[in-house]
Amino acid sequence: MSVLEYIRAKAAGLFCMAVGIISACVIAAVCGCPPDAVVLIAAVLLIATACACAIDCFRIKRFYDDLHNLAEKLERPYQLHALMKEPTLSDQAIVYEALEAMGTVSANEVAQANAKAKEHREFVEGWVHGIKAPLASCSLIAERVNEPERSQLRLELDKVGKKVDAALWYARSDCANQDYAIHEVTLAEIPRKVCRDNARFLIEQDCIPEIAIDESLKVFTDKKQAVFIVSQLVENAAKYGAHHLRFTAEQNGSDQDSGYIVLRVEDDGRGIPAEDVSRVFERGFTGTRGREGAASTGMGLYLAARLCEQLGLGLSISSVDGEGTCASVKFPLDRRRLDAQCDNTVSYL
Amino acid sequence: MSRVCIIEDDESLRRELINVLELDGYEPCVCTNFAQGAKEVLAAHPDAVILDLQLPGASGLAICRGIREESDVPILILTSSDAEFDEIMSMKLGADDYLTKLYRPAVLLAHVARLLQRAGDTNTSRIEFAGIALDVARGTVAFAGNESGLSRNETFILAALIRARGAIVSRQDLMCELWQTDEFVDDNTLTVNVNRLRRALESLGAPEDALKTHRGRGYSL
Repeated sequence: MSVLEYIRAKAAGLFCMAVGIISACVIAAVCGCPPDAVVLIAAVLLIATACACAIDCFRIKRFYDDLHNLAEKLERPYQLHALMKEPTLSDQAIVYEALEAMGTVSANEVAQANAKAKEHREFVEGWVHGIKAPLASCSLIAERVNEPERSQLRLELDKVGKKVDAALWYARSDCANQDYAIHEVTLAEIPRKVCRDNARFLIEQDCIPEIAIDESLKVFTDKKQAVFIVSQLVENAAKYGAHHLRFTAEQNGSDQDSGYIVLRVEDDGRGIPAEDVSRVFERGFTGTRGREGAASTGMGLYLAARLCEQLGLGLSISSVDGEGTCASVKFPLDRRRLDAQCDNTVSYL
Repeated sequence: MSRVCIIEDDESLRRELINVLELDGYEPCVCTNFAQGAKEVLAAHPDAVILDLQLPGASGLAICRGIREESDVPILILTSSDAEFDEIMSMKLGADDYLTKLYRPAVLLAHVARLLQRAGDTNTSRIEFAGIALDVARGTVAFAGNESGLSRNETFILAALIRARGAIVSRQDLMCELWQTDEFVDDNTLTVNVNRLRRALESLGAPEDALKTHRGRGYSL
């Protein structure tokens, strides 16, 4: 708050004061005071007014500057009343009380929403764990069924299992402060696990992986989450007509601050139309290709991108329509870095 | 015959586990008194233990610790929880292996066989059908007294066929089994492997149709 702003805000009051001072001087002059005395009266009144304004301005300025700074700096501005000095002036006290009331209500609502989200997450986690026992039973029972029904059953059971996992990860992706288990992982093991888990689906789609990754490459990440992310990329590739999947990786730079290891998944599928490519990470986006087949939910890549963001991995996709797609996941060398932002911009191969 | 003790509260899953283990030549036994889990397991003198972590009225981790205090029997944890904590805790408490549910029977059997083999149980990894005996751990096949070594892929293919007990195993299933061992073979490689296996069996004196091809459906013994 500047002096100019203060004067503008108090214009009416100041105008009245000026009128008062001028009137006092005129009255004094009419009553026969010597000119020196009139000037003295005017000066005293002016100084008194200026002092009153300065004190007032200072107090107001302190209050509003505090308010302004806190509102800008705080991550949760609805809590700012807790950090302010309780004002003594009555008009400021009213503002303070209003802020306090708003803050309390907001904090309660946020706490309630968080508790609900947590409850929901716990329910989904419990549900997922609960459903796994009957699913495991089913997959064992399926062993006793004859072909070709057995293979069909197993394939469908695999799909159920994957959907169940997606529900779990979706529930988890909502919670900002969740517990990761970041470890050093042999990078090649991530695509291997993905291919083992998706074996039946990939074989069914006649999509054969080739893993050409140096065994010595290690990354810091949560393995299960990374496996889920790469699974989404692989499923998409197989769903959109890929017959050959090639996993490669390379290290770019070696210093902790900017170096990273990038995992690439290249396929020879149908690719993504140019007009769709920048939107593949949007929630529920199925694109023109998706609508051709009924299987798209538009959740896979959205979820992958969300989880990447949480883990501090970079995810990007490039494609040539009709020739194939290349997805890459960037793992920063320093496990504490969370800067390899998700960039959903797309380049042409 | 190796005795495998199962501690699992889900009845239908328990029944299926018994079934799968029996088919593979194990002697399964169950423990249903979870509160006295460790005692009951130890009393059964198993060669290996399959243990679920989430049990009603008892903690799987406590049972795991209880068993380990008294015995070196291999323990395989089978659970629906994918929580890092459970995995780390069970390893710390002396479990030897950890599998999350929605396992394939073949994967489960491979883990059990490996555990038993590590524990020095020698008669575990031998499976047999129609006179063909396969030692999965050593990768050798025997027929009418003759023995011969097999490659890794051939071993897994033959193991799947023996476990099917004469039923047809589809090419997709065989590929799936091989993929579980990180051999991401394609259709052609599978054909090559099956043909090599067939020649290996013939060289041991097995009849020519010991390994039958069913066009469009798969293979059987």
